[in-house]
Amino acid sequence: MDNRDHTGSEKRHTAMGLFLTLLAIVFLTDILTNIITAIFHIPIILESVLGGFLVISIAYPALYLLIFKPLSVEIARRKRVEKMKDEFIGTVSHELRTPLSITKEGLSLVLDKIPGPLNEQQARILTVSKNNINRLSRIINDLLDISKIDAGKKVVRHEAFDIIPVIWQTMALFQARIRDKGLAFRSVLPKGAIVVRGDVDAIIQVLTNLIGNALKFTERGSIDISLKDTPEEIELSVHDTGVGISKEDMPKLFEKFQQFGRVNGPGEKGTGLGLAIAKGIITAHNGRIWAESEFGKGTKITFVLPKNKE
Amino acid sequence: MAKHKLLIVDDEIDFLEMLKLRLEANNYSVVTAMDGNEALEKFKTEKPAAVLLDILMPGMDGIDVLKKIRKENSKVPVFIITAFSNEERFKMANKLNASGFIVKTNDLQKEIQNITSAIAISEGFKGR
Ligand SMILES: Nc1ncnc2c1ncn2[C@@H]1O[C@H](COP(=O)(O)OP(=O)(O)OP(=O)(O)O)[C@@H](O)[C@H]1O
Ligand SMILES: [Mg+2]
Repeated sequence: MDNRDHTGSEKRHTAMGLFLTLLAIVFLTDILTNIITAIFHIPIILESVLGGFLVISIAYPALYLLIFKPLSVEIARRKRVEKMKDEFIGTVSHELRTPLSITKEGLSLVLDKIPGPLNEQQARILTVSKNNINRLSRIINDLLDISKIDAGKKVVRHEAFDIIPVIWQTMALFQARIRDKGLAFRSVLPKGAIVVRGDVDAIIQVLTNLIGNALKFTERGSIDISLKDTPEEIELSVHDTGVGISKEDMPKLFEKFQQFGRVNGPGEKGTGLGLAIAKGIITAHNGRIWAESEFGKGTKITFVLPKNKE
Repeated sequence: MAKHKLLIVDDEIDFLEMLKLRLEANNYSVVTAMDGNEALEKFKTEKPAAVLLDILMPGMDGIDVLKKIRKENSKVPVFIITAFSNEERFKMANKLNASGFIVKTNDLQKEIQNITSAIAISEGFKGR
């Protein structure tokens, strides 16, 4: 969104207005001081006192009318818009999730044979339906995350946490699926705790998206996680030996809804939001994320996260 | 073992029906209410072993209902039904001593296992 640019040009306008107002005030009080000193023969020593008095009595109302009042009106308006945006996101997510959860539970009840027996074909059809309901709820969650990122509301916590167990836990969630595909899954992590400050759920989401991609786009070989620790930041990479990304596609990689060479087979097709979300989250932590890839050989995605020590 | 009676409160009739079926399949008997007033009335007359309470309802919302239930009975397990996480509400519910949450989009069978153990714990308290 171009919100930030607006703020930038408005700030410049405000600064210019302030400068001109101050110039006018100095000019005006100087003239007034001279006139009053001339008319009433005020001694030189008192001239600066008079000047000061005039500056205050002119400057305050002028500044109030020209700057503070419009500024506070503008701030109030922005706050209202922000609040409406938040409420919109909240309402949409509630309104969409309720019918989804009802449908999902309906399918689960039948699949769990609670109303009665089920033949194999019925079970298969309902399983496919349920998988796609789950897919729909993931897409809704991703879309909501993207709009939260745009509104600057995705990364909300800034708490200290040890990143090492977070990596282990996320890896554990993928272990079985990666093994089933016959891929090696390794990690090189420093010994001991590494404390960073940030939103732990959001960081887990980044890791999940990166490892999920590596799994999705790798048919043979390995997936390696490595972590470099420096006093100020950590550098984490997910390196796979999969299909890779061509040079032409590289610049669009972290953009929304960009997908190249969709994978066939039973896996999920995805939406092309995973890397855009990852980038949004890392950027909100004042970090960086980038990709290196050789087409047909593999991909390495790396992010740097400042430790943000207090 | 006698069936435990649960009171479930939600303004979405379809969700109530699904949840009721799921709970009955888990050997609970179920009483339903569709708004805050009906919930309080049934809480008094039916004396449920636990309450499952939607947090967002028109009129009296779940938080108010929970406050009133706590005035009647400070021990009964109350679970908050929610469609999504909202930090403020979570904090609020924790302050009012809710026993846990049921996230609508999660697997309800798994969510119900938490309820079963919470009821077991509160039974233990009663025994003493
Ligand atoms: N490790 C990887 N190896 C090869 N290609 C990749 C890799 N990671 C991402 N890509 C390419 O970049 C595209 C965008 O990735 P992204 O994670 O944003 O979306 P997705 O995985 O297709 O869908 P979603 O993440 O929303 O489920 C992918 O569709 C794929 O073409
Ligand atoms: Mg992805």
